[in-house]
Amino acid sequence: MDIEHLIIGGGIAGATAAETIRQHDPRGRIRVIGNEPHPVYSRVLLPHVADGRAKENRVVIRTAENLAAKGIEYVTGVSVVSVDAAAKQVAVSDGSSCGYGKLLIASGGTARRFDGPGDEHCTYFRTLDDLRVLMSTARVGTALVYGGGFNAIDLAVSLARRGARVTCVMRGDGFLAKSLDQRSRVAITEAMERHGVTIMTHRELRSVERKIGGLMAHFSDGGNAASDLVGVSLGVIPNIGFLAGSGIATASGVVVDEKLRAADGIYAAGDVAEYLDLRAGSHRIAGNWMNAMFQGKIAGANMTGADLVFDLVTAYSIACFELPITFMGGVDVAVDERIVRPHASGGTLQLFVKGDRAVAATCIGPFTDRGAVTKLIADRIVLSEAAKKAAADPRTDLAALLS
Amino acid sequence: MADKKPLIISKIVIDRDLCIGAATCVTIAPGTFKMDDENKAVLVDIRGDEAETILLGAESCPTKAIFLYDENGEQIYPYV
Repeated sequence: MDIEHLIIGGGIAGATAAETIRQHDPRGRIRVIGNEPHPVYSRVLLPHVADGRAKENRVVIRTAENLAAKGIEYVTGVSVVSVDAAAKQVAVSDGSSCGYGKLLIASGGTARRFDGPGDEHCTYFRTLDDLRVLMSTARVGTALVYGGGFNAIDLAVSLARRGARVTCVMRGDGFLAKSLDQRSRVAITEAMERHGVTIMTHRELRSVERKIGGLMAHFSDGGNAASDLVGVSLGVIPNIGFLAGSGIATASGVVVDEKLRAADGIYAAGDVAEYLDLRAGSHRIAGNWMNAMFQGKIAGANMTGADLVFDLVTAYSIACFELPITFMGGVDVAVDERIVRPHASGGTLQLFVKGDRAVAATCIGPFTDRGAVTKLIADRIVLSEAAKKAAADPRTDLAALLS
Repeated sequence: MADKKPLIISKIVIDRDLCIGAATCVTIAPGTFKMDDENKAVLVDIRGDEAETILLGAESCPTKAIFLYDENGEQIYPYV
């Protein structure tokens, strides 16, 4: 066998998996194929570079040399165009093919395009190349950011910190509207407004037009807005196109079980993995750093003979200026109720409860109970009706519910 | 691969400005790191976990906010 372990995707999931495989298998050939022509880098650091707090070279986490020192081949700038699972072989965009013993699909996701008229004038904020385009924009006096998720918040905050007058436009009823209660949405809006950012909800972008001196965004309600830059952030689409006809099951992403197996000898991890979340009782994609990294570890170990279940409660945090925003566990999972625990300073802690157990949480504002909430979810602590009621009262010490 | 010399971590510095509170370090090395009330990682005990575990915790940080130094003051991590 030529390549024992082939990894499609050079992000944190793929790189972590490669390093984990190497820990368990000192000799087998490991190759990582990444389509971006860059070393392994952290997307999480892109906002720090965009707003000037970090230099671009800080985003690099592993170079090809770092990986080569561990005996890992890191091939970039080419992509896998198809997989033949029966023949255990992939076709690569440079015309070559590569046989494998075991395969990890960690191909990540791509920013969903606006796709309306004038999409080519829009700025995205997903990749290092996107960052370079953003940084090369000579002068951003005014910016419009379209979208209501984490990435939109990051982009808006970065642009505002660079001195731009920013307007955020979104279809929903505030940032992260599907997951957050009203008090939390208000807290984010207020944090934005304190820093001069304008928020417009219930507005849909129709088209973007280049005019002399800037861009003009047109909305479905007939309104329009001029700005130097239009940033678009509409979520991420898992990169699964190259798997058509491969025989590997896909839905939104690559469908894998709780051990991250798609089929015999084939695994998936990170933003592309639609994994069986045992706590949620359904398949889901968890597109965050912690998830990608730990799925890479589990998949890598399982590719070398381990039999581990991915059962980690992953979380992701950003700061909307000074306001911390944390999502923990599957906030996208259908739940029976949400326990809302208001913070005195604004914002809330929400516990997402399915049956008698918490499966996810959001915290807008200081997350002083983080340890207790993590344990409540991770250890599947049973919450009685009295405990649920107590949890909603900010005076209750959540750690008391653990015993 | 290079010969392994024992990993000794003599100093840990966490850059609060870079830390976003992702808490991967706490997940990997809970004896060493914890989150404070501002959702920033802080050092609990430099010997709270095995040195290899602490290195893994630092490597897991998405903003490379954790700096590790050896007994000679040489930076062990970040590598780049």
